[in-house]
Amino acid sequence: MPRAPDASPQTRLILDLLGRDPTNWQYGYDLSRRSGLKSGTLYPILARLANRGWLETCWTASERPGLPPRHSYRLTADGAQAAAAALQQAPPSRVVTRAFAADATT
Amino acid sequence: MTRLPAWLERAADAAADRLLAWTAAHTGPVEREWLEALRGELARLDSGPSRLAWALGGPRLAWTFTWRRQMLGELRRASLGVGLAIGMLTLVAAVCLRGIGVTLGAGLVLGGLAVVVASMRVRRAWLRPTQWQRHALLAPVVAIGALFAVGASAAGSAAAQTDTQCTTAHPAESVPPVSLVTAQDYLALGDYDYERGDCEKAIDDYSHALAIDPGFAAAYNNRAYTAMRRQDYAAALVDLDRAIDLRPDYVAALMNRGDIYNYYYAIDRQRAVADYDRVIAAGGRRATSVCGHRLLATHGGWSPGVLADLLTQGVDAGCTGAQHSPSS
Repeated sequence: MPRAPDASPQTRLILDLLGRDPTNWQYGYDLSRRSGLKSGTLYPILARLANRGWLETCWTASERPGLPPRHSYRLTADGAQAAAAALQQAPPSRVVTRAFAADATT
Repeated sequence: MTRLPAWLERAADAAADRLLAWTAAHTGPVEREWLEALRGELARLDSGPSRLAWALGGPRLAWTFTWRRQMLGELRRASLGVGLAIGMLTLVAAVCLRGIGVTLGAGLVLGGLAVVVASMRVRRAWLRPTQWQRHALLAPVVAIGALFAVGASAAGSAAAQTDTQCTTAHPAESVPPVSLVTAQDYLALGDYDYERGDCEKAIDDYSHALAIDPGFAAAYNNRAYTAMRRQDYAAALVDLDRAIDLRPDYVAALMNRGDIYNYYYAIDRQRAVADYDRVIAAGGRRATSVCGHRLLATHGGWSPGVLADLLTQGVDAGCTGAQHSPSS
């Protein structure tokens, strides 16, 4: 039986992290640190979820002068439903809950 | 966190910048937006190596959405080309090697697989077919090709045994002679033994016939033909020379000797052409496939020239320039 689209363990992990705090905007680096996924895995997942309409994106102004704006993400209503359904079928196999790295100057 | 030397930090930053800029220049507009998102986070990391590692996500993003599809398209085109090339080579090999069934079967399987795999790769990337769809695509090609190859190889191996090793019985169309007195009787016995697959006994029979009648051209020819089946071409040539000396217009012996010089042993296509010309002059054109063999001999084997002649004039092109007898 082929795997359904966007049902990889990594995608479920991201859906899980986004679904834990569905109202707040989250950033790519934070998601990367919490999930343990590298940018090359994380961003294609985020792009796919956004293309499917599961993810809302916006540019957030920089909190410090001189830094570029940040791209931030949160689940849409559809995304929240889909995430709940996906996680019900197969919960994420791995959740990395490391503290944010010291080199993230957020 | 340990800081690296400043020059190393700058080098890592420069590499990250160049990597992202190059990626953005070689991908689509949607990916460029996500590359900007990646760059926004990168600016907040405080070490050059971390930024460089983060920037590696850019090429991966472009690969996922653009580069992979482009590469698959190229692969598909290349695979189609490879499939067609395999088909053409198979056709040429089938004709040259005369193992048409086996070669065509193998070519069908290989060419078909190349095309199907190519299309499946693209389909998997674009449409993500289910497992059964892939099997449905693959199964008929493999089944047809496998059936073709198995059937043809079975037929080919049977033919190889009878044709080259002379160990398998031919369909028994003749009966052994009632009495064994004359050279003709031993010739008939030789033919009978040959047909039932006992080439050694057949050669003994023909030799016995020749012991009775040393001028019996047919016995020389048949012994030569049996030797050819055993791939003993040197012995066959000696017998054929004697048969032709005895009967200069002996079509069967001339064809056999021409074929040896053309294909099998002591290759000498001028002598082959000379023998074929004698066959034509003796009126053996209609009874034999001499024109086709002569065409190959005049061209020195299979070549584009043979193909061109066959396409434009047919097999009769092989008899062009030969001296024809009034009856041929």
